[in-house]
Amino acid sequence: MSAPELEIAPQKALRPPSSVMRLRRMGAMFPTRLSFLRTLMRDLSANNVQVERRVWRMDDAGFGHAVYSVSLGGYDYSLVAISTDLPPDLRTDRVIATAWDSAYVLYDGIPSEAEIARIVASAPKQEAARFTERDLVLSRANKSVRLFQHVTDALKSGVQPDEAMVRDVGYLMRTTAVYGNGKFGIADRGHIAARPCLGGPFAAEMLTVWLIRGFTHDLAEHVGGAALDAKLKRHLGIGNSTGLGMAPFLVSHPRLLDSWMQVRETALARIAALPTLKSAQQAKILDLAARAGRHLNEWSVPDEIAAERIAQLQRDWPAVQEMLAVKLAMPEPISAILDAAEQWFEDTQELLIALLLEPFGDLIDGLTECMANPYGAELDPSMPIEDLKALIKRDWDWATALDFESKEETAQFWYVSEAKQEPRLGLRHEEDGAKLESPLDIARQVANLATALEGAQGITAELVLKRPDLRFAVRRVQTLAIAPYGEIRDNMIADRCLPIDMLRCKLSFFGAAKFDPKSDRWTRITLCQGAPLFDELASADDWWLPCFGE
Amino acid sequence: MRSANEISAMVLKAARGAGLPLGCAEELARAAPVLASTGDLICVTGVLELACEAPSFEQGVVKGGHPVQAVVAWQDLTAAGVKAKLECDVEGALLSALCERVSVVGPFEVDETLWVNLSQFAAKMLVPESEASRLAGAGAGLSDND
Repeated sequence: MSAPELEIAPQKALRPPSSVMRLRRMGAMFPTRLSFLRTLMRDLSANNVQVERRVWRMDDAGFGHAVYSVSLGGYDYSLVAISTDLPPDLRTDRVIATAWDSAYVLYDGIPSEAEIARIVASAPKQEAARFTERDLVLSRANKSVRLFQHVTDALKSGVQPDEAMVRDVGYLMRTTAVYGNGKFGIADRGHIAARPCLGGPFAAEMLTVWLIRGFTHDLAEHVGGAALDAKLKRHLGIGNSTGLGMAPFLVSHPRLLDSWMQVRETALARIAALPTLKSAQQAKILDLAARAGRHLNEWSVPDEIAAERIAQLQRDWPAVQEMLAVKLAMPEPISAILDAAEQWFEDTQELLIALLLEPFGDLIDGLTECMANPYGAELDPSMPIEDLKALIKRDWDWATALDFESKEETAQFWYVSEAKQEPRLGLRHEEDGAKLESPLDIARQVANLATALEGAQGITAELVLKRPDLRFAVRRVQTLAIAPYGEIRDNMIADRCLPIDMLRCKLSFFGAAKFDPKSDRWTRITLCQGAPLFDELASADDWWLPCFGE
Repeated sequence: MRSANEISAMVLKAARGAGLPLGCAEELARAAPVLASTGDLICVTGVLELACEAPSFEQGVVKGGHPVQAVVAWQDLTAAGVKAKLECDVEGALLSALCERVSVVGPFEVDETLWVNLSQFAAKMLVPESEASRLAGAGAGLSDND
């Protein structure tokens, strides 16, 4: 008997990193069905997960604690949720706050009374407390005071809350940090990396966030003394405020970033190779395009740059829908659509790509198994200097062409603040501290490496022996050669670098939508909006860019 | 108890604070959880006190310089197929942790005095901030009462 033949889905060429890995495009990304939340929801559904509320000790005002448990892939996990009475003057959604409306731990297993007591005492202190390896994720959230008050008042008076207000705010609470991977003594990622369903990037964090969202529903119903309409509840996701702290992650994890991007780009390349679409698939895409249009109309933000981009999307979208109606029936339709999309700006292109992936789960969902990447950046000390030079010439022209003597290209510097040990961005030519800058100046370091290599010979090991200051840049160059989507191909210290673009990229992989930038360096987002409720996991996979009431 | 990730992140910052070149600090950070797993993390603080100098490589011998830099350089040469001997005063635990390239999962017991010592090195990389830079640098408002 012969071995079965491997069937590899045909695919078109991947979009080149020189286009995909530009900050402007990364800052235009949308969530897709490959995003971590979507993957988790499919896993929860496939595993027939039931959420059990084991403990509910809340006073009438909604202060106390609760425990929710799920069994997933042969392991139990529990969310311990603590709700406290927070004076308004302490409520800030910046990471530097010291008190919150609620605090959470995702616990490995079912916590005993003693463990619950430990977590109830420590979790509200967040960074100021120490945790154990049984604690997998640590988080906290503040109420959307306006909406929480309105919802509970309405329920108390026997009516459902105002639909417009639920639609516009979209969440009862927003998290201001979701810590994983060993922070403050919680479990190293290595504890769960090999476990079913929880080994994917940020899977434990996404499980935490989804459970928190369900808790906020329960809490509002408890305080209001009545049930929320399921339609409203489904629209109530969980907010999140994210700032600069998240930005360096993409730079310090080049192999992981490469995996995320390669998965998405490979998925796109696969669907681009489809010879034709069935009529049901065509109808689904047109239906999703209409939904995306309605979603755009529900997405309104005060930030000027973001608002203008949304307005442009809204202006482009009818033409996109017209184009789809024509091209979907053609041969190699997705490929034709991608070609036609070149006429629009990055945001429209990226929204269209996220949309096009949606109906093809059978073809692309399996790729999410490749999102995790256990490898770090390695140095190849045997590489001849000539090869290193050739790599720089081939892959780094975007960096070596820049003038790092100019003020514009060196305008900003990343640093870690003394006060809260959080990443910050300063103005090099106006503030002190640039001597202590964090190594996000990849482009400049590689440009310096290129200069240092002029006239050099021999092998890498000899070079970095004499010039250990170049070791970091050499490793970046060699890593990019094997992980082509691992590097953001822009100068992160230039005056034009907007950290919000890095945040948007990472958050879209989480599955975030409704980006609501508050400046060029922090943003509010909504997670889990339209996601299945605790008792709706059976039909869990059609909530890409949800619209209110659908 | 400290997680492996905490230990590694702390040693990376401490090594940078001590002046080790970033690429070498990364190697020490990678080795740190392995050292902690065998109770040998204390040897890190010893090497952080030393001057950061590149070793020499003459007549097949890697010699002198900062021990972390010397071990890393010797390892690079060996991995590249260059015959090299290492003449360097370095603790066996540190040498093998730098060479082994295994990854371990915490948590591990770390002596509090040692942790404070590492924190002091790490603190050298922190930038004091004014209220103005705090607001501009993070770009956020202060109130969340909406």
